[in-house]
Amino acid sequence: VSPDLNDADGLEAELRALRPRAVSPEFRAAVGAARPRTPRRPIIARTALAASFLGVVAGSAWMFRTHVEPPEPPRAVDVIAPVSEADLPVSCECRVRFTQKPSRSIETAPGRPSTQSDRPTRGHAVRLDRASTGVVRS
Amino acid sequence: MDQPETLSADWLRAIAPALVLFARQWTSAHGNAEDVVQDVLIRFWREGRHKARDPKPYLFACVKRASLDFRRGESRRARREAEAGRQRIEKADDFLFESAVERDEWRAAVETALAKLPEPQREVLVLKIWGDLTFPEIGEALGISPNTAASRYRYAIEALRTSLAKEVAP
Repeated sequence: VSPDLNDADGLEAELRALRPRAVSPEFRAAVGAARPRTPRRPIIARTALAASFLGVVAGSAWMFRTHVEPPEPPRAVDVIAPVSEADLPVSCECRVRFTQKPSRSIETAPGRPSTQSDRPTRGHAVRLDRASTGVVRS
Repeated sequence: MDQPETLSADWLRAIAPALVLFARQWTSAHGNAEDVVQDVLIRFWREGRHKARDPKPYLFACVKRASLDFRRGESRRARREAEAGRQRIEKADDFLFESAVERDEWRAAVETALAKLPEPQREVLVLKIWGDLTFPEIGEALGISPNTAASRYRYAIEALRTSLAKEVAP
């Protein structure tokens, strides 16, 4: 296979296509071992880098702390069932809507008077599920 | 000034074969050329890398000097060996370039044609084609002007074309 020798660019391209013979593994090992590594940063630069890193971490923690408020417990804001303490049956059905999805199920304390906010039953534990809306049964 | 790229393994992998090919012009075998380049690189990293403004032409210049020194020593060694009655063993597979089997004829033709070029033209051609140096860089490496490098390159390509036309003629 011979190239077109009358084409100057073609001849150069053909010559470039010939790769110089690869160096031996022994050469690579010897030269690689002697090759100096990229110089390490001076101690002042390293200390400054570490300090700035710690600063970023501490700053992030502070920002997180100041911006994240403790989650409010989910509240049932729309209770269909009777809510007066006297009329509250042992069992009731109510529709709830959470203002915020609870991170886990919560259980109301038994024996507490019912209010519109979070305790539609009295004397029975009510489990509020993770669904944002739904029907809960005491 | 530090030149981190001249410390990287990638840089070394890329430039080493071209440096060895350049050294082969004055050394008799691939292994000897590798020895020369190895010495040059180690010296460069220990002493020279902070001095060199542009490491690439500087390294090629160092390789040429070291290869010429090696050739002088090699000819003395060859004389001593000849006197001692020992025969020098030439390796049949001591080729300059990698090539696929179907391109082997072309590779051999290029190697033969290269060997026939006058040394000043050959070294410019090697630096330009396989060392990937610009004419100003070649001038810096060889201590000649960029214009001289360019004209030597043109002569080298022309001579190579003529020589190859004879080599690969059907």
